Formats: sequence, structure tokens, C-alpha cells
Amino acid sequence: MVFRFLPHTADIFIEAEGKTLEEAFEETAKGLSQLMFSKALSAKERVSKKISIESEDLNSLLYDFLTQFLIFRDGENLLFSKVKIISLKSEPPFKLEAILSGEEINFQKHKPNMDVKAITYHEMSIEKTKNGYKIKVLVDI
Amino acid sequence: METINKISNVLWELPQGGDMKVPGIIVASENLLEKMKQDRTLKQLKNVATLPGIQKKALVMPDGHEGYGFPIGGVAALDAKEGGISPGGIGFDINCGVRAILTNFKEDELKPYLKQLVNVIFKNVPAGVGSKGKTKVDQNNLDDVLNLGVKWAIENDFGWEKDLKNIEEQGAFKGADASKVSAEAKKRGMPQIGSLGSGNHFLEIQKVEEIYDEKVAKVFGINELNQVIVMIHSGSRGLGHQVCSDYIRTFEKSFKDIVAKLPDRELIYAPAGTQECEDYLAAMKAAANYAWTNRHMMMHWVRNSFEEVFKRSAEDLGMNLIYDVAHNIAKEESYKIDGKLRKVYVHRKGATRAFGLDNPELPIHYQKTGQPIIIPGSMGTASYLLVGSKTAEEVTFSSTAHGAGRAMSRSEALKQYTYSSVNKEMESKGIIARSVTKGGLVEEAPGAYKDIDEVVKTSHEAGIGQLVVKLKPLAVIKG
Repeated sequence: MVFRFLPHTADIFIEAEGKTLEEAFEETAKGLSQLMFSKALSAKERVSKKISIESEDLNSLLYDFLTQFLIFRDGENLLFSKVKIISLKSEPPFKLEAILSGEEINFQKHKPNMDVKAITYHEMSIEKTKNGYKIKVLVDI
Repeated sequence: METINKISNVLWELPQGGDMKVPGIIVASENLLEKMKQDRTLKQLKNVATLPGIQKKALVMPDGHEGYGFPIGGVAALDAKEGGISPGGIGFDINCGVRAILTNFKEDELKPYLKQLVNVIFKNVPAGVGSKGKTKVDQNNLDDVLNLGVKWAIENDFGWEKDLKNIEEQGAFKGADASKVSAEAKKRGMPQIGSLGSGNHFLEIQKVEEIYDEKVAKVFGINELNQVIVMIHSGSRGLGHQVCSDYIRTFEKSFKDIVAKLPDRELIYAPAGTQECEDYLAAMKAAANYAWTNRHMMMHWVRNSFEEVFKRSAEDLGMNLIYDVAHNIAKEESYKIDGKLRKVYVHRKGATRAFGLDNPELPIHYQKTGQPIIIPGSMGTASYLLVGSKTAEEVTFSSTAHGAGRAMSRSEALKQYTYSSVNKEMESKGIIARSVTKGGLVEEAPGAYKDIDEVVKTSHEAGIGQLVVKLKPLAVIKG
């Protein structure tokens, strides 16, 4: 696991790393899933959703990508244990395609954790590091 | 360290400097001010003061702490022509708010039934992370909720016609437009209408512990000590959160030159008069209608629960709505500024409107007292009813505090407290606590919050919201 949660007075940071930018995005998304449901990452792969996103910059791309998980959670009662970025364009026009796999939310099985309301730009960072990429994002609880 | 000028024991000025268009004013005791200095509250207040069309001052209320864009507890009046609207000045949970409901029970009459009552309410009111409402609404119903607010609820037999006058905007914000709310926001909100949610949202059964102003309390419907009150604290669930996210993104795309100049991306605003500004206003109002309807449906089920336990009608049990206030909202209001009446968008983010005597927006009975202000405490601590004042018009654009405000992170709370320690603390105070998840209880441990007593005392001393009644919890239901 290459994501972790860092404290904030009212909310929570997700910090994630990856050898590539794609991997860092995937890890952030997995972190978000686990933040919402303690057992999210052991969910079965019964449903797959393909998403395509286009945004005006890299931070916005991350913001829009992560917001999808909240829409699927509330609107379709779905959580995802596998996140595969098929393509990611980190220059204009910023684009991303991904396949999310998971199943219907079951409170007994997946154990609700935090009620994430929204993704924020607050101290959001996407950094190139020695070993790859590091992402930090604060989610509103 | 920057200069802060003392105006009085509870008012401080952050002088205008740099890009600030107005000074910052902090309503706080010395102790609360010290707490604000420990995070970025004051830096964010300075940022707010740079917004276009901001009138007179950028404000932070006594319970203020760091937020996104605006601090929580932030209040700003932006001119309705030269200013604009900033979703970050309202918050993700649009019309997060609270309502208080009377009963004619006294504590000792209710006590023998309390456990049973809590169980029935727990069964009847959906709560918890991702909780779903038990009334299914379809797309058409949802549009009606968004456009009509609580009027939709009343037409569908939730609550009473006479409740309407005791809700801000009569529970039906004029200008709300469901067509300005995205499909994604509707998708998130549709299954959740009529549910409490989690986090700091709660439903409490409380008793009157102290009455500070008997005359005003009487008008609110509170006649004696130990009278039982019900309080519901919740918001617009996923729908409101998505409306905020959507419009932050829309504004960023439409106003790239504005983004480039902002001190903080989350302060993004739409200039007054633009289509984007109008659209967000209509969507925000629709989300506010959703939140009022949400609280209204839960109140209906609380009334049903009392009826189920006591085999008497809610009407008979005196379960009238005292008032319902919004904590996260922008309102078009008019103030006399430099001798001229100006229309402004008052942004209240974690702040309560505090209209004083004779305000025509209030129902007749409250025009004689000022508006009821409901300030919920953290779990297990006191809550308060205050009353709005004319002074608030001058000092804070008719605003005051909204709650206790977090002082400790959730993870820190989980480290310091356990389910059994919090439960024991509740038990020792004689409070019944029920929560959907164990974590939901621990994160909200009373010690993780600031001192509510000091917050309301500060409001009282500043004259922006006067103490009326202190309430003590008997039972808490949490997500």
C-alpha cells in the first residue's frame, strides 16, 4: 500500500505515491475508497465502469477524477477496489481514461468509515520525486 | 506576527494591508482569538478581505477556524452589482443547518420512556455514512423538492402548514431552479433525501437547563426549566456537496483570469451579473431547499416516533417547530452602508443569520423578539438558543456563531478516546448515545471541540446574539 492518511483539524489528507503519475493517481483513488469504506479494497470485481475526463490542468484532472468516486458512491451505491488508468495526458488538453472495478456497497461487509463530502484544492499537490510521483489531497469530511 | 488591534474584549481588528480592500474584524474572546492564531483562520480572513465589492469588513465569528477559501465562521457582504458570489464562502454542505422543536414534556415525564423513544427514532430516521432515505423520490419529485422546498414536503404530508413560517425563507427559497443543478448532483442527492448523514450531524433530545431571558423564551414556546426540546442538525447531503464542487469547477473554467490573481484557488467567485453567478445562485437556492426539506422529513419522523411511543398526536404533544436556521448559505440582503441602502450577497460560512427586532423577513411573533438563533454544541455538551439583535446589523451584517467548532482532528480524537471511554463519559452525564458506527461516536468526542459556552458568551457580550436558553442533552443519535 502506498497511500496514507494524514490528520487535519476538521478533515483528512490522503497522501499517495507511485512510480508513474498513473500509479500515483490510482493509489490516491484507492486511498479515497478505503477512507470511505474500511474494507473497500477487498471488494469483489463484479461491476466495471469506464470513465473519461478532460480538465484544464493537472490538479483539476485529479479533482474531477476523484469526484467520480463520490458520484458512484451516492448515486449508484458502488465502491471500487481496483483502479486502472488506461491513459493519462499530463499536458493540455489534460485527459484521463480509467477503468474502475468493484461492487455494490454493503455496509456489513465494507464497513463505512468516513462520509467524504467533497474533494478540495486545499494544499493539493502533485509532485515529481526521486522515485516517481507524490500526490497530496485534502478531502472534506 | 501581524498586528491585531483590540477594539473591545470581544472585538479585534486585523488592519487593512496588502491587497485587502477592507479590514478584518474578529469577534472573539482573547482565548478564542489565541486558538484562531494557531491555524490559518486569520490568513484566510485576510484573503476574504481581497474579494471584489466587499463592504466595510471581512468577519470571523467566535467559533471560527481554518476552512477552504473562507475560514469556517467567515462572513462577508459582497456588493450585488460590483461584487459576486463565492461558493467557497458558503461551503460544500450548502444549508447545513439546524432546527429546534418544542414538546410539552418535562424531563421527569419523559425519562421512563427515553430509551424506548430513542430506539424508535433510531429506527425511523435513517442515519450514518451514505445513509439512504426511506422515502424514495424519483427525478420529478426531486425537481419539485429543489424548486419548492418544504412546500413539497407539506403537500406530501410531511409536517404541518404552520411549520413554514418558522423556517428561514419559509423553507422555499425564491429563485431556486432545479434545472441549474447538475445530473451528477441529483444522482447523489436522490437516494439520500430524508437522511441524517454522519460527521457532526446529529439528532438530540434535550432539556431546558437554564433560562436567561424569560420573556423571549416564552415567545419561543419555552415556559419552564426541564422542558424537553428536540434538535436536528443536518444538511444537503451529497446533492449540496456536488453543487458546490460543480460550480467551483465551472467558475474556474469561465474565469481563468480571476483564478490567476486569487490568493487561494478556493476563493474563486463569479462576478455579479454574469450568467454563471445567476446559475450558481439558483442552484445554491435549490440545494438549500433540499436541506430544509431533508430536515423537515426527519422532523416528521421524530413527531411520528413520539406518537408511536406515547399514543398521542404530535399536535397534542405540543411539537411545534421553534425555528430552522441555515449555517452555510449566501443571502441577498440590504444594509445601510455609508448612508446608502445597498443590496449585498451576505456569505455566511459556518455562521448564523441573527436578524433583530422588527425585521420584516421574520414571522410576526418573532418580529417582537428578534430571530431565534440555534447554536448546537458538540455531542454531549450544551446547546443554546439565542436571539438576534439590531446590533448585529451594524457589527456583523446580522450574523453570529454557528456551533462549537472542531479543535482536534478526527484521527487525534480516535487516538485519545475509545468507544467505551466516550460511552462512559456520556453515561456519567446521564446521556443515552446511539450511533450507527463506533467511530462515528468517538470522532465526535466532546473533548475534540472548542468550548461552546465561551462561544455563546462571546456572541452575547458582542451583542450580536443574546442568550435566551441553555439546553442539555438527554439523548444523542449520530451517524
